[in-house]
Amino acid sequence: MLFNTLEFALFFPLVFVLYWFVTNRSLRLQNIMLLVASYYFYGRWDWRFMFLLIFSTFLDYFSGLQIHNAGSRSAKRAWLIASVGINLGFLGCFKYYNFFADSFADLVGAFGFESHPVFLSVVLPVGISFYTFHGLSYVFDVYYDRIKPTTDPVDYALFVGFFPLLVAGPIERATHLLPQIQRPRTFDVARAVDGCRQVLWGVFKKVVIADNAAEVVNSIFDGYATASGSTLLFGAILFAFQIYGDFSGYSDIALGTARLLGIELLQNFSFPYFSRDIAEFWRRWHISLSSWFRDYVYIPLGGSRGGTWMKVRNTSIIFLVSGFWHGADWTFIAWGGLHALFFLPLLLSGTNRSNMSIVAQNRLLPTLRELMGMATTFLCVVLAWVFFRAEDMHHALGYLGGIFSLTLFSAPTGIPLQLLMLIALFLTIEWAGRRGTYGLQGIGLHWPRFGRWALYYGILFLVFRFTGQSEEFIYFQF
Amino acid sequence: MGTFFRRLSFFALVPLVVTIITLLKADGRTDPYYLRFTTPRQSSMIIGTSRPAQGIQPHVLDSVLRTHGKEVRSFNYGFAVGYSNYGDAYLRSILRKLDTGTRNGVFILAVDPWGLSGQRSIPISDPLRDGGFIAEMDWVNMDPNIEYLLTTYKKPLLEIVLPDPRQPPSPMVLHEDGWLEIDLPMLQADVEKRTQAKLTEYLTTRLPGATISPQRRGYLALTIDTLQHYGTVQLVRLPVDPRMLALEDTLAPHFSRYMQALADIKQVGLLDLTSNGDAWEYTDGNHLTPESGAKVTALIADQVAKVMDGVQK
Repeated sequence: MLFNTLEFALFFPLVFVLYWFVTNRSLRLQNIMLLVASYYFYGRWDWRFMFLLIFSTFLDYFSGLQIHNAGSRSAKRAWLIASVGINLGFLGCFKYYNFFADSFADLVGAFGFESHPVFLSVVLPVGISFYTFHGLSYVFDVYYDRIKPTTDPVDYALFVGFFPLLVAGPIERATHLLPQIQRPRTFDVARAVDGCRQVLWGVFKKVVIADNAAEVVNSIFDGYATASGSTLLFGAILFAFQIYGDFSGYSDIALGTARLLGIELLQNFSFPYFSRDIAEFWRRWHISLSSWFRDYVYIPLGGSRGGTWMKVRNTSIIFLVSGFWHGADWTFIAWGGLHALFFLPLLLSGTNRSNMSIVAQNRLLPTLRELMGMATTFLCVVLAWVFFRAEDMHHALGYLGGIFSLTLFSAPTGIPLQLLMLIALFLTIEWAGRRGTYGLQGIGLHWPRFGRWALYYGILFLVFRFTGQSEEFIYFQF
Repeated sequence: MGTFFRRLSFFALVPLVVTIITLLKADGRTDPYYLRFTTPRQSSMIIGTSRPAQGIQPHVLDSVLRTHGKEVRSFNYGFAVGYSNYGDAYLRSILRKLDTGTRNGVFILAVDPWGLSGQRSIPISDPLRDGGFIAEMDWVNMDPNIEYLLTTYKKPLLEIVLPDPRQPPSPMVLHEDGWLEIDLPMLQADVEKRTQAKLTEYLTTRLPGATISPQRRGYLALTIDTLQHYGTVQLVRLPVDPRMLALEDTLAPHFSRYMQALADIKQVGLLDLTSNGDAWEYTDGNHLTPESGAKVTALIADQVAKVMDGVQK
């Protein structure tokens, strides 16, 4: 089930009413109802893969208990290794097997040997990367004694399967979400209203910005061979807005929906395109994944302690693994590698934490220096997005080759003025709301109700008037 | 919580009213398919792709049959190649649209190689999960059809009442009886340009890798068997521009012969009108003009009347 469908528009009010009015007297009943609703939400995509989700859930639930109860450090470690191995085994089987088989065939082919790999013809289960990482964070946290394992399978299953975050995150931590599941929730009007505003803003980002940008992006990326450099650059910039609108829009809907149920999820985006350097970008883009890799891979590897070589090694590993997490293709690895190249100079010069607060914190406009930093960072991000969007490395390199040609200085063709105006409006609202957790959050709070409602009606009008061709959320494939 | 609900309900009132008005304004100019899903269940239907959707006119069929003493109220339920090829999705949709209490209905099944073909790259064992939105539409008899407008309608909803001023008016009108009328400029140069474009499209995108699909043939047979329970079934191969026919012959050289064999086995009529394609006018070499469509429909009606009288199969 997708957030931007009629089915969800019918599903969620029903869940809301059952949650607050029917099952509200018993926390356990409320959690069971949410779990059933979450499994229904997931099963509507493909019920067969529910068994994988349930298996993964109970594997980690059981592993958590075994790790906690194990008498020795080595026994704990054995359970951890078993749990991580099985989780990553499933992920590898469904997501990465064909990539490795194909790459192996290419490798042996390069040495003149012939190989006929067996490819698996399986559909990638939606959300497998997300719920696997939920589960892994739980067993790691139990192993490192950051949390006590829950003895209630329903609570744990809901932590993994909670429908707003089940298929595309944010990637939650047991230390953050599980306690909220285990304690009674109370309805808070201000929080519910804020949830509605966040959902509205998420829908706008998805159906107006991302879906409209997708139409132009698809046509430019498909016809890249004959397009001018300036048109290709324009297509890559539009893709930057498409993927941001798509993924952060999904996250906003997820967070807003959870808020309506009295649950706070982790913030996933914090105005990444207003970043002044790549390090700041990575503190603002897909925050739940970046912090997951930081806490469970980077820091255990030694983090930024040690010599220069250790820093370079650990940073490179993080970015390459992050790229590989997104998809089993060299394009994603190249995307991660490129970001590592952008990031390392900052790390090695000790300037990676120069920009910790939001740009122009106490001012209306950025300084020229900040503006230059934002523009440079955005351009680097845009160029890396080409790898992310391309079908394969040949496509990506051809596309980038097209950008860096003499036609870069010609006028781009097929500029959709209407879309540019919508993006300008979007950026204006995001800029005005950059001190909050999402664009619309801080806007109009102190206006009279008439003004606030006019703003919401205006956004609703844009949603109804400029809905683009419905596209599936990009991050569903990951 | 009461405050929240009161405010939310009050706020939602305006969008709700606007949405309801918008949904009620949807009509035959909304898009080429919408009205087909707003009418009640039907007792007589025209089945196939865009050729019959544009070429067979229910009001002509009904009036000619009336001159033969047959009272029929037919409905055009043809869509387009890619959506209404013979297959599982389309058959299910037909059954959702069919008034299953019917025993003396008329069912015109248009056949051509494209509607029965698949791609070689798709294994035969692959289930026919085609049909696009046809497969996903659970409600095909609802007015206004909220499911269609909110899930399948491709444009922004408000374009139903506020058309995009930058777009030229659509030449398409979908009539209440399901006939899709397309009014295009018919100067010879315009027609030739569209015909060449259509031929190129079929030659470069549809023909490569296409093959007559045994599964689709099976579904055609199943569709005939199913609809025979509810009345008279008539197969029709509509005329096309001879150049388009030549392309079809490349794909399936013995198509008419195979269809005749199937018609004989199933004991239904087959009217093959491809032999004198030059006798009719087309908007693009593939679809009959409204005028030619009316004449062809009259021929089909005469044939159906004979079959109903048991004179000819």
